[in-house]
Order: sequence, then structure tokens, then C-alpha cells
Amino acid sequence: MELAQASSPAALEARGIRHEFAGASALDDVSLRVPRGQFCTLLGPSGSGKTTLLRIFAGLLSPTAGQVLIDDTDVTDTPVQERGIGFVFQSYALFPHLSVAQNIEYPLRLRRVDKARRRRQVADMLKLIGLEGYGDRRPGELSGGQQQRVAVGRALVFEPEVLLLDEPLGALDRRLRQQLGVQLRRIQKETGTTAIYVTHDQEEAFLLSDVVVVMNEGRVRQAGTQAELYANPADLFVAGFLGDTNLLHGKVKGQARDLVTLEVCGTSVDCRSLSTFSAGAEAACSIRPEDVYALPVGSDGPRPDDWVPFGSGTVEESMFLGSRARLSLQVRGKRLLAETKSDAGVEVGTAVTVGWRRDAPVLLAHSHG
Amino acid sequence: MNSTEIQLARTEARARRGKSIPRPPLVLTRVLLAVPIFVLVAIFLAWPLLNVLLRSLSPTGVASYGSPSFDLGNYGAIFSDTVLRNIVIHTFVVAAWATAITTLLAFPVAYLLSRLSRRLATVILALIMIPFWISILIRLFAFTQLLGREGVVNSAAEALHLGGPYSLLFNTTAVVIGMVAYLLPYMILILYGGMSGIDPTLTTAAKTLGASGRQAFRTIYMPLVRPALIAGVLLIFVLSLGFFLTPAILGGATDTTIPIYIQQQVEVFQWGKASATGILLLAITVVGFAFALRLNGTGLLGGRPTGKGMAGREPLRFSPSTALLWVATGLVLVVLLLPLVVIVPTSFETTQSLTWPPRGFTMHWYGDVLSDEIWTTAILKSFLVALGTAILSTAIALVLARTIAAMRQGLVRAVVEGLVFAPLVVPVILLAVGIYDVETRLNLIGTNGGLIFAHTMIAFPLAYIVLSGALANVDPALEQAAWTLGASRARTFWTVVIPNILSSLFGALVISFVTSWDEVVIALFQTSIQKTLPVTIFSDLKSGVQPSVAAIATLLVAVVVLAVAVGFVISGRRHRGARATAAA
Repeated sequence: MELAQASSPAALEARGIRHEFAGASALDDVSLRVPRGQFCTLLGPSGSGKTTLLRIFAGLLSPTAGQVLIDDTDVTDTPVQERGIGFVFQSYALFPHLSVAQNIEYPLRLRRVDKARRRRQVADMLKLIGLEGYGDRRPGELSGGQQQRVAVGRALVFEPEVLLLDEPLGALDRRLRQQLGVQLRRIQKETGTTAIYVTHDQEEAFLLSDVVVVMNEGRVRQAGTQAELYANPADLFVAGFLGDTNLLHGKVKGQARDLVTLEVCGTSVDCRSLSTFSAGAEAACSIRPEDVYALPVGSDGPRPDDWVPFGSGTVEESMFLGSRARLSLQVRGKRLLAETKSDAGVEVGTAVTVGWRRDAPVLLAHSHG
Repeated sequence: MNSTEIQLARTEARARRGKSIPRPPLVLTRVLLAVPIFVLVAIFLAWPLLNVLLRSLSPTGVASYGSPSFDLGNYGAIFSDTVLRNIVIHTFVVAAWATAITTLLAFPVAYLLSRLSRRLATVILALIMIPFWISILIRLFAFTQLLGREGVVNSAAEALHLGGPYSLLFNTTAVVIGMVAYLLPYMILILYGGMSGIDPTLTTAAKTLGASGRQAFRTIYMPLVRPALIAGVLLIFVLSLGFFLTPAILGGATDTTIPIYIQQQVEVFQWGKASATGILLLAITVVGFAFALRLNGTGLLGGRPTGKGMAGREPLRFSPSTALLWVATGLVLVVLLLPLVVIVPTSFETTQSLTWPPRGFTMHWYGDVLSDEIWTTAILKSFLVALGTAILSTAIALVLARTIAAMRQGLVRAVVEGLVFAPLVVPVILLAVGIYDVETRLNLIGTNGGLIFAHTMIAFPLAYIVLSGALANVDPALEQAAWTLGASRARTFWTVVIPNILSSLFGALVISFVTSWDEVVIALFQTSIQKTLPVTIFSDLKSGVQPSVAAIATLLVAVVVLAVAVGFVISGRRHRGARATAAA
């Protein structure tokens, strides 16, 4: 999976990584290039292999096959100690017998940095992570968020090329997660470090990343920017994992260049598609709820110029989300999600005409479910 | 941090990367560390038992590796020889009495503890555990003071005009009392572990369904507590069969039990029947342990209460029946703690023979003990051996705990871990004669080194319990974090793992030190001329009690109390449980 042109320098590269654990395949032929200075998120449900991949990058696990390259140097057989990567553990793994400053100082001592420089670097790092004055505390005396920042500081203080983070915000509450995520992004940008960030939280991935790599069942499903993935999911899994979506299953009627016509519920839906499909093939398309319009019958409502009607139906449920409302519609025997302004006056039971903008439906490969 | 510096550091790092220094593979290091342990255990644990087995199968009682014989005559003698058969029957009868009384006393105490508030239960449990820390020898000595013709009990009976004097010492009654006092803490711990996990709302629920209090107890509570109860009874019974010191000191001439028989026979080099009885004892013990462990899990070995404390959530209200529970608990505490209190005043007594209440006050006996060369050399020898045992046992336990923790969960790991606990299961008398046999062949008998090796066999499993528990509490991510920061495996071990288990490391040292410092049975066979302190006390007790024993006993209690206090302060943890399985 290419995240950039092959010519741009990659800080980290995986080539055909396989990993088997007790006979079961945990990673299946994973290839990945992460350009220097980027913040790359590995996103997937638990068991998708994202943490395994991260541990293979770090050298904490050996791949069954394949290569890991840091800075175009093959490090597959290099022990973890000599890879020069920073790793932030989910549990933070702060040394409980050392103070915050000693934790951060630990990698510098190992590198025989002289005392004066060590002290300066630790002070600089405490400042960077916003924990000045906390150097003498023990990790146990800090809050979860503070511990997380110490873990990041310790992993960055020896200026590693690559920072690997294993769900580092997973143990924190939602508000703190966002706050620390933004701070993490700032630190990463300031130090110019390449970051690989593992999470199962799509919101976190969208908030932080330059690029997102979606993984499932030991494979990379799709990689790209958040906007690309959201607008053009490659398959059913990606479409379903990144936010809510409406899936319409049907048969391919025909294709005109990048527009595939799908027969769904006795009507035709035109979908964008980058790959070719033969007529008669099973396929599915995805339409995001915010692209679906439900107009009360008789009203012309606010609707886009490139409006395509799908059918008429009724509103079955309405969920208040603040400025927007999420509607559940019954159309042509299918349940569809739609979004509307919450003050649009569309009540439960209202008869509506349902449609979407012409370019909203995206065809997904049916086979990758 | 400025960007040029970062770039510079990264260029250096790039240059370093990929140039890997060759190092010995991890597996090789592990093997190199495990081999000496394996050799030690083979020589001082497996070989002794094999020797005893071979001797039991030889009509002449000689272990010959050239032409091993296979004769079951010695085993037949257990049933045909009248004297031996009576000894076996007596051993089982005494064990049955001790088990029954222990269970009856322990049940109400454990039940009360399980229903008390956590804080109160902890205090009472701590009191019940105190005897674990005091040498069995000293506790037995205390019982001679309590039960003797002029002892505390008879003096009290006389003062209250209850008749007497009763002969309470040097008979089977005394043996059973001594055994019950030793076994009570074990049984209470096991039952408490089972009971504290039982939700009290269950019996309440049964009552809302129409069950009477008795019915709810019989149909709901008992079935839930039964596994712990059966496991406890089995364990207590097999432990009772292996008692050596208690019948030797508190028993009379007719109170010969299997372990005493073995010791007497081996002393006159009659190995055949003694070995066969020993192997029989081992077989029964192993089967008993196996069933107990199956019923109640490995928590038994650690001696830690396994319950989640659910039962304590609904504290018991006061009623006539709970008053009975308190009476039982008070009685148990008296049985456990009174003997320890009695020793101290005895040591200041002025007369040659021990009487109660003590007459006069003198420090004379302390002066005697500290100036008499017999006592001072014994103290020095005991100290050296205990120190050696502590260091060797802790080192072995540390290597084993690390190696086993690195093994994958499964059958192999279970077997290896089972073998680590094996020395705790083997009756001490059997280990004592077996090691005596082997060390005689190796010319190690009587040396401090030989005794250190022998004591290490019973001490390292206890150290292992402490250290494996501590290592399991160290998050593996800590080590991995140190690796990612650039620390080598060795450096990680010393700078991350060791500092985080320091308190338990100290705990392991204390436990193995105390185990050796208190040990009598193995040392009895090892030291004919230069005796350890407990063996000297044992000889004095056998030949007639002198107040100097009381003085030394008081000193010993003080040493243990001090060591434990220091251990508590440093570790802030409780390792009492691990010591629960120390030799009887």
C-alpha cells in the first residue's frame, strides 16, 4: 500500500510482513511505507493485527516473513535495543521506582550522555510535555493524562527517528483524549518525528493523522488521508468502520467509465467506481447519512441541484443530536439513515421523498466483507 | 532541543543502526543458568529419594546400583511385622484424632473470620499466623512448660481446686494437642479462603424461599464450602502422618510414629523396613496433596486466602450462636498464643528445674547461654548455614521464577512448576534420611556446605513462591519499554526488574534464612559433633529440660520477631502465607 511516491524518503517501511501465532495467521502480507515526519495511524478493530504490526516495527516481535526498514536500512534482524525507535505503551510502562525526571533521563544515561546535557534535555522535555515542576514526582503520584505525557517524553527524549504509540490514549476519558491528542500532534510536529499510532477509535484517527491505514483480519484494507477514506471507502469493511453509512446491495446493470449502475430494490442507482465490474455481478454501494435528504412530501425543501430521487417513504425514528437530527427512514422496504437540520420540522411518521446528491453513492467491492 | 541537534543525533543513530553486536543467544544464557540448579536438585533431592526407594526394595536394605534388587519383602513386613504394623496403625489413629479436632476448631473460627469486617478479620488472622514465625521446637518446648506436672495447666488446676496433678505430658494426648496447635493455622487459612468467597446473600435467598436457618446452612452453605473443607482435611491428615518432632518431644515411650520409627532404624543402619515405610508415607502424602490441590487449586501451596472477600460484605450480627463462634475463636487464640507467652518468664527462673509460676528472677541463664561454648558455636554454625541457605535459595528461586515466567502456558510449564513445589510435599523425615544417605557417600556429611545444600532443598520453593508472585506483578511492558529505550536485556534486568522486586527479594531471603535457622530434622542427621542451634535445643529437650533452653528460646523468638519486623518495614508486604508450608 503506497502512501507516497516510492521516491520520497520513507522513515519506516514494511515489506510483505507475515506473522503467525500458534499456527494462526495474525498478519498476512502487509506492506507499508510511511514518509518522514508524517503522523500515520493504524486503525482497526481488536484482533486486526495493528498492535502486532507495531510490535514487529519495534522489534518486540519477529515476523515470520518479510522485512522492516528504518531509513532504508533493513532492521528485520536488529534487536529492539539498537533500532532507535521510541515506543509508548498502552499502560505507559513508566518505571515505578524512578521519578518522572529519572524516567525521562533513563535512555540518555544508557547513551552515556554527559550529565550537564542530560539535565538540560530532561528540562527541555518536561517543558515540551507541559510538566515543568513535576520532575521529582513518582509516576504513581501523577494523573493518567500526566503519566501518558511522561511516557511520550521518555520515548522522544533521545530523539528517535520513529515514534511508535500503542493506543496511548485508550485508558483516558473522552475529553482528555481529545486534549492530549492535540498536544501529542503538536509535540510530534515540533520534533519532526515520524509517528505510527495504533488505535481502534476512528475519531482519534481522524483528529490526529496525516494518513490513516485501515486494518482488518491481518491485512491492510485501505490507506489514505481521512477525507479520501471517508469519501471513497474501498470496501464494505472500510465503509462500515469509518462512521455510519447506508449500504445498498444489488446487481450491476452496466458501467459507463467510472459510473456503475446498480439495480437496487427495483430501481437504478448510479455509483462512482474506480474499478470495473461486469454486468450481473453482485455489488454494494455506500451512501453516508449526511448525503441522504428526506423532504416532507409536497415541500420542495432545501435540496441540492444535482438531486437524484430514490423513492418515497416514512420517518420511523428521529434522534436529536444538537444542531442536526438523525432520521431512520423506511424506503422501498429498506431502512436508511439520513441527517437533517433538527429544526427542519421532520417528525416521526412524516411521509417523505428520499434522495441524494448524484455523486454520493460509492460502489464497494462486494467480496471484501 | 534545536533542530540541528536533532538531525545530528539522528545521523549518529543511523550510522549505529544495522551494525548488530553478536551476543550469546537468550536460550543459551537460560540453559547455562538452569544447569547448576538442575544438578543440585538431582543430587540433593532426586537422588536421595531414589536411594531410599532402592533400599526399600532390597532385602538387606542396601542401595546397590550395580545389581539393583526388586524385592517387596520390606513392604510385606509393614503388614506382617506386629511391631511395625502397630506403629503404622498408631500413626494413622493419632493423625485422625488431630485432623478431627483441628477441623472442628477451625471451622467456626474460619466462618467467623469470613463474616467479620475486613479490618477485624485481618487483625485476628495476623494473630493466628504468629506461630508460623516461631520455630516449631520452641513451640513444643512451650507445651512442655504448659502441660508438665508442675506446668501452667496443672498449677492452675491446683489453684482452682480442680484436682490433679493430671499427667498431660509425654503421652498421646500431649502429641495430639501439639499437632492440633501446629495444624490450626493451616486449616483456618484454607477454610477461610473457601468461605470468604461465598456470597452471604445466597443463604438469605434460600431463607426467602422458605428454608429454615439449618436447612439453608445444610443445602446451600455446606455444598459451597465442601471443596475447601475436603481439601483441608486431606492436607491436614497427610501433614499429620509426617510429624516427627511433636511425637518425639511431647510423646511417651509408646508414641512411636512412622517418622520416629524411620529415624530410629536409620540411626542403627537398618534401612530396609524404614525405607519401605518411608516410601509408603510418601505415596500417601503425594496422593493426598494431589487430591487436595485438585479440589482447591494451587492457592493451597501459597497458603494465601483465595477468596474475594465477598462474605465480609454482610457482617455478622451478634446473637447467641455467634457468641459460640467467638468462644471457639478465643479458645483457638489461647491454644496458639499462650505457649509463646509462657516461655519468656520461664527463662528468668532461678531454680534448676522448671516450675510454674517461676520462682525468683535471674539473668543467669542468659549469661550461661552467651558464654557457654556449646551454645555460641551452635549459634554461629546456625547463622552461617542459614545465611548460605538464604543466598543460595534466593538465587535459585530467582532464576527459576524468571525461567518459568518466560515459558509458555501449558503442560511443560505446569510440570516444571509442580516439580518446584515437590520438596514441600515430601515428608521431611524422608528427605532427612535420604540426604543423609547421599551426603555420606559424597563425604559432605557434617560440613556446613552439605547442610546448606540440604536446607536449600526445602527453602527454595518458599523463596520461589515469594519471587514468582513478585515477578508476576512486574508489568512485562516495563522491560519492553527499557529495551525500546536502548537497554540491553541484562541491564534491563538489573535496572528495571530488580529494583521493582527488591522488597520481595528481601522477603525471600528472610523466609529461606528463617527456614534454615529453625530446621531440626534434616540437621539432626547432618550434625553429630558440631550441632546447629535447633539440634542442640532438641538434644537438651530430649535429655531433660534446663532453663537455659528457655533463655535461648526467648532469644530465638526475639531474633525471628526482629527479622520479621525488619522484613515488614522494608517490604511492607506479607509473606506469612509462604512460610505456612515450612517443615513440620
